[in-house]
Amino acid sequence: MTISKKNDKSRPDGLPAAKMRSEIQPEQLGFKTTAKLKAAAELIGQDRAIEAVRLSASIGDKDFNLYVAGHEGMGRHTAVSKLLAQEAARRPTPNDWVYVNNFDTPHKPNAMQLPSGQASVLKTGMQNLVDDLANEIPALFESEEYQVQRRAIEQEAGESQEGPIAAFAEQAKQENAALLKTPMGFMLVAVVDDKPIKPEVYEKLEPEKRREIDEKIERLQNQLTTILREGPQLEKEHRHKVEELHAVLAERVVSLRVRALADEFSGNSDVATYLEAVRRDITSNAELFLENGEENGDGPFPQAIHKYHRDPRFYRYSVNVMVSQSPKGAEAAPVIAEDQPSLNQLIGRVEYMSQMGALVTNFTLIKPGALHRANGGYLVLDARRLLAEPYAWDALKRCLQSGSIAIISLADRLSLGSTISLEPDPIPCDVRVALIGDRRLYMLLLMLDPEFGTLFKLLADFEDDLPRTAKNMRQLAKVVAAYAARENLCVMTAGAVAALLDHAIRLADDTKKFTLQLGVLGDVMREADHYAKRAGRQLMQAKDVIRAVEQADHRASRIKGRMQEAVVRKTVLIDTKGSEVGQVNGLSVIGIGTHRFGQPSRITARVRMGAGKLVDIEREVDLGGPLHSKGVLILSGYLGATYALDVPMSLHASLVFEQSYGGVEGDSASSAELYALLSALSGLAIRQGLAVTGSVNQRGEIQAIGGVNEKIEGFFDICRARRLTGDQGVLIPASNVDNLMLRRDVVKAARAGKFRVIPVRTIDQGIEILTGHRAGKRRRSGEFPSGTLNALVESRLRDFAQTRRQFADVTSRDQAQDGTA
Amino acid sequence: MSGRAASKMRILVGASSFADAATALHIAGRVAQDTVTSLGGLLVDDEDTRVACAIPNQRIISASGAVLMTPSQAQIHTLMNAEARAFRQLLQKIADPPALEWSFDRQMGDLISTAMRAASGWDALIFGYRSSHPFIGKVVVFAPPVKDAGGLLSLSQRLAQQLRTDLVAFNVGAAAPPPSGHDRPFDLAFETPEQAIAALDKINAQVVLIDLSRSPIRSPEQLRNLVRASRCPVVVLGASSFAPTVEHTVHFPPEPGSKEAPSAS
Repeated sequence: MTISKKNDKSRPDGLPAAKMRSEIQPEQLGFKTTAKLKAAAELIGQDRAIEAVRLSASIGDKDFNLYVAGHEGMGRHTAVSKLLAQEAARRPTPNDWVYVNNFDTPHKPNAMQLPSGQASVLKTGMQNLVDDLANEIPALFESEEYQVQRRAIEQEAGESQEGPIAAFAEQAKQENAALLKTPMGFMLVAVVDDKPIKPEVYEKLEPEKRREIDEKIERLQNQLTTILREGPQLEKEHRHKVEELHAVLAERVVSLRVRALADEFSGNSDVATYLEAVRRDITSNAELFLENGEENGDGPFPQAIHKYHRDPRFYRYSVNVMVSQSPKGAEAAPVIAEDQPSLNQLIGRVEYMSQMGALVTNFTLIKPGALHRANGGYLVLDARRLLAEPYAWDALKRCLQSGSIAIISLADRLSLGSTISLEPDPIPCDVRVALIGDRRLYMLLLMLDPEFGTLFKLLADFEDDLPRTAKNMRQLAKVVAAYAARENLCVMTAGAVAALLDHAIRLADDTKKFTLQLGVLGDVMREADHYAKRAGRQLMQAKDVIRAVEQADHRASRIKGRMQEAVVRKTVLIDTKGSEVGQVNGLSVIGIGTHRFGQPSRITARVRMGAGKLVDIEREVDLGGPLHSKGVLILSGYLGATYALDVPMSLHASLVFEQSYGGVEGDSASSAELYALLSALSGLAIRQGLAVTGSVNQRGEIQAIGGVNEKIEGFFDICRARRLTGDQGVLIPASNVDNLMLRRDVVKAARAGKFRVIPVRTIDQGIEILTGHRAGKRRRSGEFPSGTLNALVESRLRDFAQTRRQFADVTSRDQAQDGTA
Repeated sequence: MSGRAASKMRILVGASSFADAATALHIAGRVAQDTVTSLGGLLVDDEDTRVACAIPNQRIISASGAVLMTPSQAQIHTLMNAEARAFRQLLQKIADPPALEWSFDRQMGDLISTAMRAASGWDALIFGYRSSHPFIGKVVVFAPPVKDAGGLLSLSQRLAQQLRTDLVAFNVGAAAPPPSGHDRPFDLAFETPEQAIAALDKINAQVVLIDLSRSPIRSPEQLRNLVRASRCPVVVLGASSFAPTVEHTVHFPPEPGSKEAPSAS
């Protein structure tokens, strides 16, 4: 049953041009140029995310760290930094932190907290202290007062040693013994006739006399041994006395200087304790400062102005400023954005110096990390970069959990360190971390890391798009104007802004929304600005924006062009005119980077009697993805539930995407496959000037798909390359009409009646348009009207079932006859 | 001689072991700054010591008070070779940086007489004596009874300054010591050399200086006693004029400042 041309519902006119591209009119914007447009905040339509950021920034609980989710180019980094800076201005400036020497355990430097701005004061104070003492202590030890006392000690010690030796020498002399020196030590020998006794004389002596001499010599040896053995004890006592003298003398000048410095930090018990330790250490190590006095003072600069604190031996009195807030700045907490969140950059590191081939370090080589700098404020990190850095994520979690920053190098974490290292005091950590990443990463972290949810309790989910209301449109125009002004771009005409907002709608894939990918819009604006300036204009016009968009498409369309060329040259077979049975033009979208384009594919179906099997060739060879396979299985469901319900499904059908050498995924071609199948079953040809997109459910309803604009434009480009006939067009799901923001050339062709976009809601509606035959509805009698497409399909399926039954009867009879014979 | 002490000098270090030589060379190094042109070393292999080592049941007491077995003659031979090598190396180490001429010799005999004999032609002789403790001792100078012309005293003062210690002057004889002044050392007066040596025995000295051409020490035995009592290096000036003077003046010591007094000029 064909449909008469006059009342041909199967050849609808398609959507009006206005529905195919819902453009913004410049006059809707309410301004002529952006020159006098009041700039608006960049954050529009992100109320929910802003609320989360503000909550995270202001709440006291330490675990309310923030994950900021959203697409790239949404301005999340800028927005979060700006919001956090606003909150930071309301918070007090955090304290300074320094590392100082631990005089008792040097490998465990002490962390010390100071009021903001005081770290550098302490550092300078300690430098001055060292410089002063390096001049004053040597002078003190050169003084007559010191020399007299020192000589007295030396004399006392010398006499203590010399007295017994002199007495012993005298006694030995009295007892006729000589004290001889040998390279190994002293030797006592009996004296005979004022000369040391000779061996032969000794041998000739009476035994009694020899024994007498031997006993005498042995006694004297014992005495000498006793005297000499007291030497170390005397030396020890002498050393203590000298040290005591040094300490007493140094104490006076050191205490005076240290007290003066301590007065500057009165009320700070930590500094007082540290300075007391400094005083004790300098007093007991005064010889460190005495070395200066022995150096040659000749040179162009006098000793007095020498910066002694730079000498390595005085590093022990240095103050290593880890973080210091400028005292001149306004009161505010820090907001730190770390672009390279490696382990070292995050928690700080201990550096090493090479000395005589060995790596050495000290507390002055401790370097701060981003957590130190952000302590008391906010730290903004890129989640992906953080996770890509070895051990950085783990270190961050440990810091947040423990509330302290412990500097542990990667080598120490892996137990690979083989040189001297430090264990600095952990610094208490009060920082709010904002991780910026995409939603997928957020889901993965939630799923795979149980600690993530505990530490990052807040999610700021940035919207991808903005409802297309008049208010939002004007707001977005102001944001665009502000961006142009900030980037020193040309002033934009209302037409240029409208064209840009049109592009924002296209990017949103929805005529009811604007995209919030401000980064992408910014790229278009900068390119358009370039074209405007190159043309010698001060105003950016709509044509500049349009050109920028088109040029971006053009630059990315090399592969698209090659594929279309293959179709035009019939290397890839796509018919755009005539009719064919069991063949339909499906549409797919190919994405290359950020660029997408539509491409038609020939879908064919073949049917014959069988056992109810629908073969999806793509799936059979593993070229079809799961969603595609699902779509094909839905077709079986539709056929089984719609036709020949009282007979077994005796269909064997095969479906294939012709000349498809890559994979096929998605169910957007399922309606096209069903159309091809119905055509093959009914024997009615499908118009090849039409292409189809849309998924189908088991009830035969056409459902929305993605990339509708690209798909239509892809088929349009092929048709235009072969000449537009007026019979060409695309069937799209009716629910996708709101997504249409087609290119201007497509709309122009449609307006001229050369191309159609036809929304359909059901399979019946679609097949009627494709074949020009009525689909037909099942009557109360249970049958489809005679001659309709559905009746033809059902009849064919019944024929298959009948044939199958007959075949089964013949087979069983033959088998029975064989058995009888 | 005394005049040369202030200008360029040639110094001989005599010792019977490396330990003794090391302390003497330390002093020689101090003296050598700007004032020495040549440095000599003499290791005297002491006969008495060798002989004493052969006595049965003999022991050696080390500087730390340990009792050691005496070495055999072969061991002594090896030991002295090692001592000589070390002495020579240290001598070279001190002489090389200021580009001094240096020489080294090794002889057998008694340290005092051998060194005095070898010292003819040298401006100064330093007898080595090992240090038995680290305490800073005084610089002791046997003040010449006649006008010094600045030689011995100035050398003593310079050494005391360099060693950061006190200078003590021993004045021996009837003449009263000159009054102590700002540039004068602390003076002690003794009637006889023996008294001075006995006092020296009780002093912790770091170095002793004496000009034999002008001093009351007349005999080798007195000099031996002085070295023994010092227990530190002894810097001897005028050693070359010592031996004949001793023989000639032993019975008729001239009055200090008399025309018969020995002179190096």
